[in-house]
Amino acid sequence: MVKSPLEKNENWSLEIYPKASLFDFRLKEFWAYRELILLFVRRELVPTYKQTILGPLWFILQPLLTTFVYSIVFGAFARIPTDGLPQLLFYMPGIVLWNFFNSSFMKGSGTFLANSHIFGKVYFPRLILPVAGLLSSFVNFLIQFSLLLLIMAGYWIAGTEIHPGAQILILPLLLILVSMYSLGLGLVVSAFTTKYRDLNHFLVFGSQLLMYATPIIYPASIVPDKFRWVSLLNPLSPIFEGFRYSLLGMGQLMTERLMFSFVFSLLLLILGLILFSRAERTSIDTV
Amino acid sequence: MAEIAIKVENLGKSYRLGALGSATLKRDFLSMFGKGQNKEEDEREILWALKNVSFDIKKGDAVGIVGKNGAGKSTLLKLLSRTTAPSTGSIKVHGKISSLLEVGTGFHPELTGRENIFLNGAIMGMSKRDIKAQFDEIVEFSGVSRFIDTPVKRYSSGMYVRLAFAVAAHLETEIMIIDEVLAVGDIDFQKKCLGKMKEVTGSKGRTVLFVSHNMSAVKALCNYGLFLEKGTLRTTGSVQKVTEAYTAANKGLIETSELADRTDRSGNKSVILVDYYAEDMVGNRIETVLTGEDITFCFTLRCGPEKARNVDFGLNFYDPEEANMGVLYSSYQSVYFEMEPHQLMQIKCVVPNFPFTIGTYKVGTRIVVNNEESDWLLGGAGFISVENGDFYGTGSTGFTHPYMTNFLGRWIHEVQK
Repeated sequence: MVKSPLEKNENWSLEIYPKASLFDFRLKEFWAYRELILLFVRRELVPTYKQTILGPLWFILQPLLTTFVYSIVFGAFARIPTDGLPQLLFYMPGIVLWNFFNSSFMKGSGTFLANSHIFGKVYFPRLILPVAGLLSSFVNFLIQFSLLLLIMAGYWIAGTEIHPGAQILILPLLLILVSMYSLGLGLVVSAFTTKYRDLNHFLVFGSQLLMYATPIIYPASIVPDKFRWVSLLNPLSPIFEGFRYSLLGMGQLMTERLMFSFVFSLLLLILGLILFSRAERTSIDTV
Repeated sequence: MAEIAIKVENLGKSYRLGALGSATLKRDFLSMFGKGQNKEEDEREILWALKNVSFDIKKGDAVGIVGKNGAGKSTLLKLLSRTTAPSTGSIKVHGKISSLLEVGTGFHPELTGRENIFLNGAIMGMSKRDIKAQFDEIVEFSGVSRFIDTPVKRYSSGMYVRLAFAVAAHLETEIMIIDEVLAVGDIDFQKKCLGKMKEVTGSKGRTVLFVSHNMSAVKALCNYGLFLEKGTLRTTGSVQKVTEAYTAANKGLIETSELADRTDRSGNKSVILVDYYAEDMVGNRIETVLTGEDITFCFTLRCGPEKARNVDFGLNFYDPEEANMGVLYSSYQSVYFEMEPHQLMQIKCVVPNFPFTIGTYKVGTRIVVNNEESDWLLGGAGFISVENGDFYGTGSTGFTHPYMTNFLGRWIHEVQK
């Protein structure tokens, strides 16, 4: 086709084609919309506090009640060992961290289904929503985490044998790992939900399964050899063990397996970004 | 040569027909390994909502996009606004583009008016600074300043829509895509909206794409037009040329289709219109009437599975620009009908001394049952052509401009001293 010289040097500010290259995540555009992320975080957080009598207290009560239930069911009835820790201190870090992972993962995987009414009407980088979901989950995590620290301090003053120390420095790394993994997994699942709605039904069950495969209600040390492979394959296991270790100085820090978790999460995140940016182009046609 | 704001080449969008299910999974798997189904079968399952559409839009143009429902207007809007990606072709754009396909996108009922302004503005692509700079103006335009710190779930639906539109109206991008459904709310606010749109389309250097069924709005707001039909571009050019082509095409289409099968209708369908024609005083079917003649409009109604009481039938007449020339509901004259389940009933409305002047009028109908809309044919029930006649009974055809309403007066005179 012959093009007029005028057109040749056209410098379009936006070009839309049926297909984009595999690794074109348009992160620059994402950055341009960063203000929107914070507004979406706010949109997620504010309504949960409004018009509830206890407000943010719910975020504190939930892990406390869950810990209480676990202490009775798994501790008192099933007598699952807690690595020599008081039950409250053993269950709570796992629950708090799991809440963070699960909430971020669920929000991420629901991106296309829950927001189709917005996506059908206006364009912005869709990645903003799972990232906002991650951040709002993190805010809730911080609230629950502060409670955990308070309880830990209480136990420490009362003379319980826990060993907080320099190992707490690995905590931020563990949180980054959880963030990467939950975001990556959420992106992958959300990309598939645009076509296969069944996944949505499987999600609640799947996340429960994942929770039992992760050392939350039991220490990694009691996993029988027969089931070691489950724990080995689950990138969350060393993270949760490490979380307990970094806070309380108890349990194991499995450096090699954490490296595996990191590589796995990173690959999952990249895969998630690829699938997600492919799905977002036509998500509203099928959702 | 004027600068081009949007260049669309060979644009196409296809949708796969039928439900997504296990077949989807199988097909996806097969295509993953390069074993697609045979091509013929694939072709049958694919619907092209838009095909081979190419056009250029110059910077500063106000472009009206017209076409019947299903012609591909909304698909084109979706592609331009990037809510979905095209299947073929390309769109190239100069300048920032924003779309107003709906007001209040992302509004959260628990958030206050103020919070929603910022959220909604940002979703549509405004920066926080822009919103802050225009905040007072937005609030004033919406007229809800007293409630700006109240959660919007406490707003009346009118207030909600006004606030939502106010944010939209203050978007300032170089290219704007506007859907006509934006003009909402009460009459006063609608006027304000149209005024704002005029201001937007009139402002220098701003390119606007406006989708509408309302030809007079398109003519008033736009200088250029695109007429889509069955997914392809039928006519482009001056707004005059395009709206005329649209009106002519629409007329032919309505004459040839069965009323009962039409899908361009809204309402709960408890009673629907299934047939329409007009007849003269001796019972001959007619398509043309003279101004001043008596004419009978005949409508056949079909009742649904439930008995319908308080059936109110309304008819009206539109000129080619979709301006409403007059409305008559049976209820205005305290007439209601009652229908048994599945009953067919013909309603005749005799209009003596037909008042409209030469032209072709679209006959609109709307059925209301128990104050709820039952059936409203959006494209009208049919047409009636009018030739100038002896309205005054004196042999004078009077003022013979098309699309006017004649009226009689009683003349009294008195000599003043």
